[in-house]
Amino acid sequence: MRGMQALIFFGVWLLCAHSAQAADAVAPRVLRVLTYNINALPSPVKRHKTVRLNRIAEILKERRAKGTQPDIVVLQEAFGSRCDVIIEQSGYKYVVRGPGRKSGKNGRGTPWGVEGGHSYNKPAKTQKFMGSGLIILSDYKITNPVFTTFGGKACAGLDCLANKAIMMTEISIPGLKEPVKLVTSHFNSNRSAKAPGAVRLRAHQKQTDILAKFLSRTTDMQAPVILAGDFNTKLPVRYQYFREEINALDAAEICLATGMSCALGDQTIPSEILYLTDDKQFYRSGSATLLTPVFIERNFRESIEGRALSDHTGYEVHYALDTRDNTGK
Amino acid sequence: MNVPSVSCVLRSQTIVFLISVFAVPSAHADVRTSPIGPPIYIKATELDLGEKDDKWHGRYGVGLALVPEFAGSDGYALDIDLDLKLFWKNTFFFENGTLGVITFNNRIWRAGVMLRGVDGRRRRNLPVPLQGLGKVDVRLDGGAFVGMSLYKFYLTGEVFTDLSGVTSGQTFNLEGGYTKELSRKARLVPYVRLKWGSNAHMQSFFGVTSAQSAATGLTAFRAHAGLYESAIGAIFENDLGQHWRLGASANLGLLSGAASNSPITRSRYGSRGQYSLRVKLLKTF
Repeated sequence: MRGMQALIFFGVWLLCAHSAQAADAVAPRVLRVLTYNINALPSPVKRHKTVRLNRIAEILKERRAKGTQPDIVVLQEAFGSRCDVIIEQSGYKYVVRGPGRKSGKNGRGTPWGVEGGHSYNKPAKTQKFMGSGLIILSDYKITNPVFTTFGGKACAGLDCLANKAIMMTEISIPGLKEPVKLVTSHFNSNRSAKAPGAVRLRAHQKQTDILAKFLSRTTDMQAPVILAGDFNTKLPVRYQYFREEINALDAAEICLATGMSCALGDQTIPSEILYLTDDKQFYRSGSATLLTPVFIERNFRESIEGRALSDHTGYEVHYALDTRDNTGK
Repeated sequence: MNVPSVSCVLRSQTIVFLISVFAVPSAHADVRTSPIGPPIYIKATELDLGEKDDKWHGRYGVGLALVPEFAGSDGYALDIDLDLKLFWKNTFFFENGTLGVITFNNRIWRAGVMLRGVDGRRRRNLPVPLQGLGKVDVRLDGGAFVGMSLYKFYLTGEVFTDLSGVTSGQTFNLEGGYTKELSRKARLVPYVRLKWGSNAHMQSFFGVTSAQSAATGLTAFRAHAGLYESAIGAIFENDLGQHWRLGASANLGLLSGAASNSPITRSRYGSRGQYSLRVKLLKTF
């Protein structure tokens, strides 16, 4: 009788374990990724941000209640503790903050360094008064987050005062054989950097070079990669250089090219996801996971008392996830 | 008779089944639906891309300098201008005759101590009628500096005292400037500079003793401490390559106080205006 019980127990356990494994093997059909520059500059620069940050958190919370929230959110210009409301209220389980102002090697030199005259009494490094302003929020498990800062010389103008960086993390999605690698950054701004155009362009190109090097060190052609951030590529010459150096597909280009299989949000027009935007998403499918953009939307458009939530809108892309086994590829 | 026992077995298996279901770990525990509890913060680590700062850095170069022949001079001399700067770990430095240590360094402030050798007044640079003033030897100054920077603005103060006994005087320099990026390769640093000298320093360069008066015919003059030069100037640099730079600087100084009233400055060989111009080619490393 005891043998019989043990047999039944083993059979049931095996059934349960198999069921659980079978459940694990089913990947979600869509991965929703939002990049959003929330423009939370420090108080002396931008006041009255708290109300708007609270509203951003509320929107994410409301979407979670409906089950339509982005799976992954990457934020730029998330400076200061006021942004914590988004982390705390939006309900995301995993959080990675980008480097603070003291993080990173930040090598010697400034873009405006002058060799003539005394230099012993001037700082050897660019002064960093703010951190990177990057935050990654995810419902899926985050592992191995890494970052690199752009350093003193790969910046221009006022942007040099922030410790801008690139951050990469692996997102473990149930059912996928390999994690999705998510990369975010906030590149040097253009006119608002208050530096000559050529200096701004040089800084942006240096940052692109660093991103290319960073990607070569952290990714390979086997793993699926999503780059989502404020890459400040609205200027054609910046976008062109970026595309030449970064081996990834533009989600908007693919979405618009595929036509019926990719939809745009209600108020979203092609130009604001394609080239007339600094916020972008790029991607690369992996050897075992196929990413396909199926929906793109510019969101977070509402305003409070006549003020927009940010000087950017959200840029959300939904990627269909297919394992190569399922697609027969 | 067996029914109750089978039922009992099934009940126990149901419990085991339920335990098994909840015991088997599932990746779906991480899925987005209603995460409970506070967020989990994960710390990112820095990825080393292999770009390291050398312990040593600096520059060297050569150029030409057009400078007053002596303090208060109306005449100018064209000199070869050698330039050398060496920095070790951003702490110890040698910069054009100044040897020093940076003792405090943060985002905004920088301070340190230094020794420097300073040219005095060469007899051969004096016009013949003024050669009776004599030379002022090269001196060794000990000093300290405090510098503050904010973005592209800087303000520095330096105080020196003569350790060699040549003048036994003290000087204080205050300079503030702003770096203007003109283009991808060119930068301009306009600045304002003020110089103050103690009694002993001023007397060495602008005073006329009775002996000097007898030798030159200048009126004897006692130079007192005070602000003696106000200057505006600019440093210009243009990148010629990754490590080569063309540098130029212009300094327009105006003597004041005892320096302005000195018989040396007021003589036909003197001038309140003290100008200099430098052009050099620099190689950084």
